[in-house]
Amino acid sequence: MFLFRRRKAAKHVPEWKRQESTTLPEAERRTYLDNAPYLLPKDAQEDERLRFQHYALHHAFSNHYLAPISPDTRTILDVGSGTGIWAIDMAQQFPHAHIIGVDITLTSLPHTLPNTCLFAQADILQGLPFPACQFDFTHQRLLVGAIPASHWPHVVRELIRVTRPQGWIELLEVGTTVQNAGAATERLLSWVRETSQARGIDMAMVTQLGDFLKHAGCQAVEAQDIPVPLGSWAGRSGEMLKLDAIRVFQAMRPRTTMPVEQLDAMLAAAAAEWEQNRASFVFHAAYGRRAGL
Amino acid sequence: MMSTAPPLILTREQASRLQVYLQTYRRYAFAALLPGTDRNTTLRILQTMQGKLIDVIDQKIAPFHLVLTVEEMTTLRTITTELLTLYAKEPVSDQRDAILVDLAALKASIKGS
Repeated sequence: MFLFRRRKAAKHVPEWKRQESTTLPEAERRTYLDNAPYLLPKDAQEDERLRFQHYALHHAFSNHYLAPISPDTRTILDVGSGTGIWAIDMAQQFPHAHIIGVDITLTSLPHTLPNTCLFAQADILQGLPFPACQFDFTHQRLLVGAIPASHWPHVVRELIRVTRPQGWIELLEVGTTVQNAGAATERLLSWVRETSQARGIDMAMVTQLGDFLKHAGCQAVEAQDIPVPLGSWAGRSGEMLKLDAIRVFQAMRPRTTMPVEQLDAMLAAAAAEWEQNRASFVFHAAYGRRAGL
Repeated sequence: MMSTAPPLILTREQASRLQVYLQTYRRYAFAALLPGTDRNTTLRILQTMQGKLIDVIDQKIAPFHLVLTVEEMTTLRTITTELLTLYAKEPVSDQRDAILVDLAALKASIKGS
């Protein structure tokens, strides 16, 4: 049976098995999903970071999405909906649209939701529980840490499958490219790549998003690498992204054997470089339309 | 309700070129301008305009009547001027000259609308 769920029902949803980190002091321990390849934690601290990141991205990209979707868009799907904040903000922007979010666990949703937002438990790696051609706009962002390299083509085909002909599919990811990176930043990024690869995640896949869409038959594909300033040198937006990036790297600490002190020193040196070098994190965006009938 | 400007009436080719100009400016802004209120407002307006333009193109009935708000028309005028400046800096070529003429015509048509 497939059910859409609201927050108050979430406690009845079978929970993903969780795994707690034990290498950090108790106050710094984080909780991770055990039965999913997701690199980052799944706990209240991470939910708070994701909400902050949502607004940092809005500052950086000017909007909650990049595709030139119609103002009359009626059905929207958010894959990897997490805290639900993207879907909730899109409900304000598209008050006449039905917006559905899916994630492998629904425990991060707020207690109250707009009437036009629904959330369902689903794992994109296992396929989406929707018939073909359902959505005007299918959106997925920052799931690189959850999708093993070999799954990417399948994931993109699945996103396209549930999108109606002429509907839009949008992907936004960040990899391990920093413009004006110094030596400390390169060391940090190298650590991220190694830590990811150990879990089957290849951060370089995000440079191929546009190709994935084209190879799967999408039309009007736009792909762009967008440098987003990292640091207070770029004002509020840069300050927010820097803080978010630091918290992401800190959240990955239990995923490595590197001593915490060494990792923190590396991160502090990298963050100083971002200000000195006026660095930018490169995001990879791609969107396109499902071919018409 | 936002006031609308007189519609832009576009042939299929003009609509396609306008779509390219809007996308070109968005790419430029994301690549070259720091995030900020003015940049972001312009980007949101252009994105909405693109959505409207694609909607009328999808209807496949040319000439296309693109109805824009006064704010959208003002933004279109501004970015057309900026694109003229950007393209003017590119190496001289037949293609560049054709784009400059086209953008100048677009700017004039916006002024006249």
